[in-house]
Amino acid sequence: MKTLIKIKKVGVESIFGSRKKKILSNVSLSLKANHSLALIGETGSGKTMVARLILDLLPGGCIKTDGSISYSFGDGANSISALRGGKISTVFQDPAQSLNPVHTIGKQFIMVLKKHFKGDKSGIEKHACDWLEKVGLENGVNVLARYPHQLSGGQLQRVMIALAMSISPDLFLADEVTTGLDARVKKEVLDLLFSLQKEYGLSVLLITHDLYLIKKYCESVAVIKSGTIVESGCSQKTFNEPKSEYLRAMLRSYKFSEKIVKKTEASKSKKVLLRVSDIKKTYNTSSGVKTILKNISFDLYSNETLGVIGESGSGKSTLAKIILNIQERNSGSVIIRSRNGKDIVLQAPTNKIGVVFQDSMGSLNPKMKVEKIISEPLMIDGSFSDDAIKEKLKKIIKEVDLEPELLRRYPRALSGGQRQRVSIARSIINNPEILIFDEPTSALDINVKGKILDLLIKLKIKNKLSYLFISHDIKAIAKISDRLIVLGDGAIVESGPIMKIIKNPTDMRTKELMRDVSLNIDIN
Amino acid sequence: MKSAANKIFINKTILFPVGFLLFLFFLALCMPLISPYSEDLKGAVHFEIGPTPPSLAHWFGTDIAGRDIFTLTAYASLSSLRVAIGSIFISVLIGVPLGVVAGLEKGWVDEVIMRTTDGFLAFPPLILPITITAILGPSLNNVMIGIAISWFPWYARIARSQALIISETDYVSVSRCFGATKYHIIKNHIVPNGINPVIIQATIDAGYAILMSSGLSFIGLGSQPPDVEWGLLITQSRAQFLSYWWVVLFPGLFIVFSVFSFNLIGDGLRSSLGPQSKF
Repeated sequence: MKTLIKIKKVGVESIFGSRKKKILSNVSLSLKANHSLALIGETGSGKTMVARLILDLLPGGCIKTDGSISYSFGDGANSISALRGGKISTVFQDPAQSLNPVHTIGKQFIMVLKKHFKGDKSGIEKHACDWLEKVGLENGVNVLARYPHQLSGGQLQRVMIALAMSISPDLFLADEVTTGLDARVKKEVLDLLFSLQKEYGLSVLLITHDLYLIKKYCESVAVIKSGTIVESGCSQKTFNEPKSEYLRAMLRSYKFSEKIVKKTEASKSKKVLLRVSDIKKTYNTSSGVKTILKNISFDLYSNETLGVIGESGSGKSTLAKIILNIQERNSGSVIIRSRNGKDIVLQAPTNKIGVVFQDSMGSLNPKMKVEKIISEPLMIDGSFSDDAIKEKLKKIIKEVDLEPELLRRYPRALSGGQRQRVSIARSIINNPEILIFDEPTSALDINVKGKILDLLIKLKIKNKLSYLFISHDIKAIAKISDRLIVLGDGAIVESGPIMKIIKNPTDMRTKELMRDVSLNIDIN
Repeated sequence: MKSAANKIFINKTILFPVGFLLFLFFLALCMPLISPYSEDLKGAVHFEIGPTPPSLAHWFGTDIAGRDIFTLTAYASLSSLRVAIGSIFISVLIGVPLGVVAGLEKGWVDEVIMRTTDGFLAFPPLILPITITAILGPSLNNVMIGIAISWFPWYARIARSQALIISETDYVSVSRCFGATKYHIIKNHIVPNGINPVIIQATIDAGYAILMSSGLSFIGLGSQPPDVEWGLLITQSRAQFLSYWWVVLFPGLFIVFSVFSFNLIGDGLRSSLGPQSKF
């Protein structure tokens, strides 16, 4: 088989001032014609850097230090500047950012295809329409007249694929093309991409962190970790007999098994700890009153984890903020039953409820050191001496498995997992009874996600906590929750024990949300 | 904060202008002690000398009253730096708390504060300081007050936008969940994270404050003789500058270089403290 691109022992360094950092080292890859190769790795592993290396578009301050890349696409034109946008097409993660928001889709096709069609506008439009229809966008003329913001995420990604395919490339670089799409659209986009690959005999380099999709779609795979390829080969064989410890850990953390769910379901009690009743929330917008939450009521029992799932915009985060009393509600009440059996109607934030938010970078003040961040609740409380705070800090970082030397660092010097551990430490330092999590794992990689969930389970048992776990990630919820509430359009559309809902979802919206799990069970 | 300080000083473009301004400051401080013509600073005149071109005895020459221009110009740095730093300091002191309160309180408090500051911004940039200084009476202190009152709305706006952005972050939400007071949030979250744009703007504005005070002195609203100020020195010699070029050139150059220095510092700070930088 012909080899299109051969990367031999390439190293890339970033240089900032006098500081040098190795980004890629000793990377060797070969891309064959009519073949699909997947490059998998976590955020920051250097996978996008490989794509940029191939395109010769390394970001400013990064240089190739050793090794070589050779291109052999035939036809003589083997310089990268001629190949980019000619024989090599690229689609990046966020289609909304890859398309220019001030031009119509048609205009963007014209900009790309001008060279190939020598400015024949009607020819371009016909060609574009053909491709839009091939990627499943009916009424291509209509799409051409629209602006990017008038299309949905899935449609935009199809437009990007059509745009990339319209120049009839030999190699298709797809960098995290499905991140940010929901499970159904994700599958459709990949089905499309790989049916095109077979039909036109392209090569595809798929860069992703989604393991099972690769197993299904790609012929071979390369695993990248900290800028080095740790494992590569035929994907079937690699996944069945992973050689590196890294890949094995990734595969383990990705497994969805009923066993885990059953284990946590055993710890169930019927003592109500938090009663949320008739929560209603509306916003006044220029186009009238918008209802975010309508009459939400539920109980949280002690020592249980209640999962709340819903699509983005279903009111999940608003519900969390209302329970935490940092957002006003129109009506309804939040009542907490404390350990001594007294009912307290909550009107203001309380130290009985702790919180961990989604974006681990955004929830830590970048100008505070870790020790100050974790002890902030105690500072606010004001009744602790410096020594008592230090004592508590020491204990708490042991509980969340953080190294003591991290206390002197700023958040930017921590990894994603470490930052979320800091968030968790802060939320439990003044002994709350309830913890509310708002998408605590959605910004984390699979591997780290698993570890954080394990930590949460451990903390829950040790500190006798109750969790309200809000997420759109059914896998994370299934791993940790006992019961589940499904939110749709601001109302509870379904609730009950978690396995029951996963196995027999009754509502349409619930079925949509569960598709991610069933898809993975299918592939397994 | 240590790494921040390091990073600023790695940025070498800032070292030269900072050095230049410090040099001006110390030169001005020493002038009454080291200059052979220090009595010129107290209002002495020597009409018998008259205007003489730059020479070894008088480096920048002398003006129509026979005063040594080097001594006067160098000493005038003090009043210019004072106006620059003083007026911006007062602006920040008024504007930033107002802006932070507006951004945090929102609602009618925000409306009242921001519409009032908008009122100040509605005046053409020169008219307001001229009016205020004229009402208060011509003096260097009143120039400072005039500039400060005209410019504080810009700081209120920057501070408000920073307060708005930061109060929406998750770390402030978390803080509020633990029952943090507004004071706690301002002190620990908003000020440390929002102060950089204010510092950058203040440094750049300090340069313009020198220009403004020189302008006000030039039209007679700033410092009064026998005090010396660059704008005042120029206005005193403006009748003669067609015959004797040196009488306005040197004070003018001092204005140019000091404004340029402040702007360079502002630029340097922007690249190390600005929103694009990593910390």
